[in-house]
Amino acid sequence: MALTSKDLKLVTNPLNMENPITVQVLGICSALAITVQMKSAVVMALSVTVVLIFSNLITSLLRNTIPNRIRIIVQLTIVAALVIIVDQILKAYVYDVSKQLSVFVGLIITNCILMGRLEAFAMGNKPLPSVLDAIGNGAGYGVILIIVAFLRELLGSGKIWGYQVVPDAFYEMGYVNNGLMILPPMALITVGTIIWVQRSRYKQLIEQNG
Amino acid sequence: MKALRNLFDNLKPHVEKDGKFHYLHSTFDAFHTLFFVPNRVTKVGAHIRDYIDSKRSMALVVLAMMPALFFGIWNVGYHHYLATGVEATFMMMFLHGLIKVVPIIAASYTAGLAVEFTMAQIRGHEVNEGFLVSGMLVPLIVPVDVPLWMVFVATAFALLFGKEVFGGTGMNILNPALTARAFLFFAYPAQMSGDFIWISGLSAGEGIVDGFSGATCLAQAAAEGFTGTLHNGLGQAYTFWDMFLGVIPGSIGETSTLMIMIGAVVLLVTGIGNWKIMLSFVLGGLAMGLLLNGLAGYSDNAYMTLPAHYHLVLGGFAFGAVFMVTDPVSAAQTDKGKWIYGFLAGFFSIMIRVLNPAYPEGVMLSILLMNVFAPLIDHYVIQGHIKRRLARATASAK
Amino acid sequence: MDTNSNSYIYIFSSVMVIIVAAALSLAATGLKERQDKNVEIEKKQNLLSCVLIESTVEDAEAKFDQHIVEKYTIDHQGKVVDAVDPFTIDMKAELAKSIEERHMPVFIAKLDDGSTKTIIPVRGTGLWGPIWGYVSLNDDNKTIYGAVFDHKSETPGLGAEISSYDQFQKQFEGKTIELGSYDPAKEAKQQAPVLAVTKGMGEGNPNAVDGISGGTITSKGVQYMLTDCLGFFSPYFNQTH
Repeated sequence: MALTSKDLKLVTNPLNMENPITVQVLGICSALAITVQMKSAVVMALSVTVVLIFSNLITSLLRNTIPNRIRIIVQLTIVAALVIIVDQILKAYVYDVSKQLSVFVGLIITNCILMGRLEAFAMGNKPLPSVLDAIGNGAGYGVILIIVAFLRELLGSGKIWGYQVVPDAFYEMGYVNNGLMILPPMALITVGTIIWVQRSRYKQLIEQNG
Repeated sequence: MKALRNLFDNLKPHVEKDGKFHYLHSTFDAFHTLFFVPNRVTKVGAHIRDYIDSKRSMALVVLAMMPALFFGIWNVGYHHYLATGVEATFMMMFLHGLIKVVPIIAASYTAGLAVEFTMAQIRGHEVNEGFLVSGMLVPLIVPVDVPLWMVFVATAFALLFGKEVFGGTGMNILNPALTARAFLFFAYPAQMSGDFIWISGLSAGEGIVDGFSGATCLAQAAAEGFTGTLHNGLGQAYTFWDMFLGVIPGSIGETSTLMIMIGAVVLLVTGIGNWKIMLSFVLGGLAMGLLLNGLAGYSDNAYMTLPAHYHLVLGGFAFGAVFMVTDPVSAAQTDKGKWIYGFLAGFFSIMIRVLNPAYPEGVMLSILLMNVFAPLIDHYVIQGHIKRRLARATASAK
Repeated sequence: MDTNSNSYIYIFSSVMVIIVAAALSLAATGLKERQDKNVEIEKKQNLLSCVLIESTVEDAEAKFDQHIVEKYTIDHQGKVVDAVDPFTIDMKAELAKSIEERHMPVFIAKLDDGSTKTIIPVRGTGLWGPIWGYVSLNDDNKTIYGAVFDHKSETPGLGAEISSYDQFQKQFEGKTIELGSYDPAKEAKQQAPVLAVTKGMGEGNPNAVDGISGGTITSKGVQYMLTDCLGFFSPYFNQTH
């Protein structure tokens, strides 16, 4: 069961040209909320990817048995159940991170990427491509989250992954961490800047007026 | 002048379409039009061109700010020597202020020009002259002890994200200078608020007179309310006249209502500033001030007892009224819209000032907020016009 | 098979609900013990840090058992209430009650040098949201031995500094609290502070600490919190003397 190039595309496309955050503009809310630190961003990215993989897999396996009339409710139930399980596991094993993520793990349920991929992909594709699609989209989401969190933690707290990287000598010379980077608006501006850079490199992503 | 003319004429062929340095043409244009009236002629349709292009009207605004700037420079020195308890002459005060303020102006212009020229080169358009004004506004609305690199970062940020992402001068939704201040305010709160930053040398804390307090009048009013005793750092009471003249601590150019009014006259006489916005802003502030005075008895917020007319001369209200809220790009464009826009901006200024415990000053936030709403106000004013005229047209058609 | 018939939909959803419910309850019950433990350890670490004992997640339990020798639940008259476990008291719920019905926890710590400290949890409101912490007193019930504070959403760089040991908490050590004029009938804002938190007043004044410049509202919040929560214990302190 070798991966065809078409299968590979399912993983690589969402990293850049079909990125869920910067191109599809899905899942913005959580990207704003949990990117103050790298650690919480990575845990969030992993949680979303795990939930996405399993929900895509389950939905894809069930796709022929799910009654069309209640398919959204079924998808929602699958996602919600997985999210609650992930939340419980985080609370049990990485308590301090789960405290920072607080309600946002629960809110993965409302993350548009999940419902979007279930409805748009898993309902109509076989399990293997669905899992690949989930990995790709989860990674695409994660990459942006980590870039944003890297910039916000570095500029906002002078740290990376909780370790101070801005030398003390800088602070003595009068350097001050940028408090705005910790506030949510700056996450939006950072995501906007990434979109700006991406679209000036790949002109075909720019929407045409009208 | 002749030599300059020759220099430009010699350089010109090199930056024309096929020249070797064509990519520098926007830089060339920027300097050329700074010194000479552009000789470009409109080729299509009927247009009127006169000498007042945007570069010249910007220069007039900068001129209007000069009284406030010079007063601010003196005021910085005055308060410094008041805090250190040194007897100083007028020249000493002015010189001290000059040493403090000029680097801030330089930092602001360096950041601004760097962003403007880079963006103009990348995008291949002319260098926007809008920064002439913003670059001077930024130093006037920051506290004197703000570190220079913060001014640099904030100005660059404001121009990039407040202006260039929207398409440059004339396209910005927010006032760039206020965006810079808001950036500073939220990014570096410890350097932009509190009682130590308004007077030069106070945050370093060396040689300060015992018991000297650097609290601004607004901070005092917020903490203790108006009991007739807003006072300077040594505890001597201010009169209303002191506050009107501006011998009070505050951001560099915002303290003197008198000097700002001179600027306002320049702007109004030359027709650059809009009197409707200025007037409605002041009226809005007064209205909210009076309203709060009336309600002061029902609340334990002591700030509410500060008389409405004091609000007009304290903090950044006067400066905001003349130089900020009137910014022609970010303000409302329709006549009726200007009244609504100005009034609400003034109204919210005092509301944020008094009712929000976190911010003793509300002018910046209020004007930025109204900047965002200005297009909406215009939209409804125009829709209203269309509806009324439509009704009239259908009525007369019957 | 017709997946859109009503009976199929009923059967499908019933089966799904049963499976999901089973999976969730399994996860919840299986992990509950670990989760509760995490919450408990965090609280223990906070209590220990208030008497200036550093602990890690691993050794918090052992150190807690070693140092925290007694814990009581106290009512408004200073009497010990046996029915309630002091460790599980929800401060937020208690502070919402009237003073007569309020129960507050107190912990007694014994340090390595043999001295005993009284630890009192405090909770109040800052500028943007709740603030809380623990204050420990020497056995004279007057002198503060240590204090830790935390907050939910105070302004970074200003109010948020209350959670910094060097910038804020350190100066509480050695200060004295003044409970003489505390009147439980009045709100914290209207009475003399148990310990004033005001800018520029801390130095040399045993009954005040410096507030945070630019964080006046949060500083006042700390003062009201201390007045409310420490004041509640004044009958208790009177009895123990």
